[in-house]
Amino acid sequence: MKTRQLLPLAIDFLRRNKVRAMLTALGIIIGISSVVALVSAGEAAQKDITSQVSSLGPNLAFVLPQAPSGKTRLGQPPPIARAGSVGTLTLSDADAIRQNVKGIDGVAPELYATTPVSGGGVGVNATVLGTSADYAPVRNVQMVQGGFFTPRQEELGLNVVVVGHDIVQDLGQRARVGSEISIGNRPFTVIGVMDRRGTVGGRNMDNYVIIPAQAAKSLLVGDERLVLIDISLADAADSAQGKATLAEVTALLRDRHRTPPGTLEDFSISTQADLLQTLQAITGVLTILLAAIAGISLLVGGIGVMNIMLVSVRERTREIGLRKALGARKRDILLQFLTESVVLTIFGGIIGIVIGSLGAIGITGAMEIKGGPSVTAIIVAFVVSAAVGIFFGVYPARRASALEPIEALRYE
Amino acid sequence: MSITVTTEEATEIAERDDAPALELRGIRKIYNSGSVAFEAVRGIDLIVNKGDFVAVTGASGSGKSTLMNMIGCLDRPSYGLYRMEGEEISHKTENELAEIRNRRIGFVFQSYNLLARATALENVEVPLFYRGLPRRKRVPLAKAMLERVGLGARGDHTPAQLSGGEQQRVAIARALVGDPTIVLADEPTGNLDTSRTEEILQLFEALHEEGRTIVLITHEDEVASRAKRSVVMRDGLIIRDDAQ
Repeated sequence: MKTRQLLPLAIDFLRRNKVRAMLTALGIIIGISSVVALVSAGEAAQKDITSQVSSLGPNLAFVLPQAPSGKTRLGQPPPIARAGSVGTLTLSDADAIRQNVKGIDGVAPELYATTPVSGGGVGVNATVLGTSADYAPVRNVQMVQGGFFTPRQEELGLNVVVVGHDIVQDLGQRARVGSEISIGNRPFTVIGVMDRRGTVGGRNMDNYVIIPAQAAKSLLVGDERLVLIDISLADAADSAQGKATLAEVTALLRDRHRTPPGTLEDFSISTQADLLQTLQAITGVLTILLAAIAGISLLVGGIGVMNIMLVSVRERTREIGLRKALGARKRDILLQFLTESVVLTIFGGIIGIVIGSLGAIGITGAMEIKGGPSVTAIIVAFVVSAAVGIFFGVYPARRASALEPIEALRYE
Repeated sequence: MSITVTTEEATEIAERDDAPALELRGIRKIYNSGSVAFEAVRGIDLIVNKGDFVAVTGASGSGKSTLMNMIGCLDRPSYGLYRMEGEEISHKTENELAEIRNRRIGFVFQSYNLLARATALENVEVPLFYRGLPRRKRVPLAKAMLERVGLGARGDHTPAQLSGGEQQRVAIARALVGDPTIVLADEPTGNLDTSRTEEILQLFEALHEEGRTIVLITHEDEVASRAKRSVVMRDGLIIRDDAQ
């Protein structure tokens, strides 16, 4: 008997037992589809975040109001994930860096105020950010109308505002350049509209209204606490020049915060490279978690396959005896049952890949990020489904092949 | 181009041609169940020549099923010599026995033993499948054999759509399709009524006329009387053999 003849035999058997085949494959379908969907979505999210971080440019560094966390295994989460937490940095820290450290192109503090925003009496869901004029070049903000506020406007303490794409969409004419919107019950003049910036780290950057830092500070009750300070260096952050500049920033802030020598700072500085490293560490853990979930679901599916194959062997004992009487060798019977289980799991795997791919498209669509099914996930899923078929099919197939023809023929 | 044949091969070929289809010498089969040993076959000598039509009869427990299993290479004798066409096969490996069953023995069972979900034609193809023939070669051979047993038009029927007699004819076609040395039929009419039994026996007679070697195991004297030679067993021994 030739091995390739077994394939039509197995397909034929499964076709004649459709319901059972479908139910058995269901476990594999669920396992594989969840693997493909989750891994694809994870990969797309990783690519998305990585490209966002990369787009910041190698010259960008962040000063964060938390102590350096070299001791935690995952490293520091990116500032965007921690935004909203408050710490030790102040606006005057940002000014001091700008004035005292050389080799810096721009410094943009980020101060968030939670105050209501409305235009012409219509409320709008907005994030209020107070920062410096440097924010536009540092964060590469593109304008579609008007311009960003200037250092001069900042110095004069004018109540001017630059609005995001969604704000204009919500308020229409009420947020056009030249009109006034109300932030924390104070009138601000719209001087510019930003181009679409998208979602970064789960934050919609298009519902931002950006005002000078001093104006934001005056909206707050109590001390200002910065979420972070963006620094644009003249050189790449990981170059010798860049490192020297950052060391100077550290020394300056230690001095200003009166940090005793030998103790840990109450702030930390991270660069694009740090962020990427952190992200990779996080995605690494996520991948392991996903793989574990996938492994469990495939294990369950595989046990289902083994169970059904054992039932099938028992039911077909006479058939096995007959086939042996007609000249089937042990190997022929073994391969017949193994082919059946592998065809079953590959069939489940292919359906799972299709469902998982659709799921991946759905998830990335809902997350508003680019990306579809992951090719790696699909290939791995296919190989794994075949492997599950072999692994969980071997035992039933061995039992079938070991049957004595006389006993098997007598079996009722 | 000349074909060289060694002396050994020449002798073997000669042996095969002259040798009886089956030759059993001092065959015994002992079953050990725990501490008790049971001797189902207690020393049988039997020669079946090519073209013979032999009926083996005996009450249940006479050892005829055990004998049939050994002749069919489904079981090995505990002692004794078994030659098929002059070739010693007592010590063959499991895979070699599978090949002997495939090529040299055509089984016909009491309960037909057809694959329920396969068509008549597919059932007849099975021995050729294990011989490694591709489908395009199996189908014409199987079709021809179904024609031979008078079921040429019913190849696409499943066993459930066929009568008992028809199912047994499919099984006979399956036994014959590989052109075996012997056809080994175990109570082939046991499940059939009188007229179907007659049909099947006529088919066996016709096959005998064509020169097939047939060993038929039955407990019905009427069936046994249709064979050309009768062997009677009792308590694991042959107590009567027409040929001697």
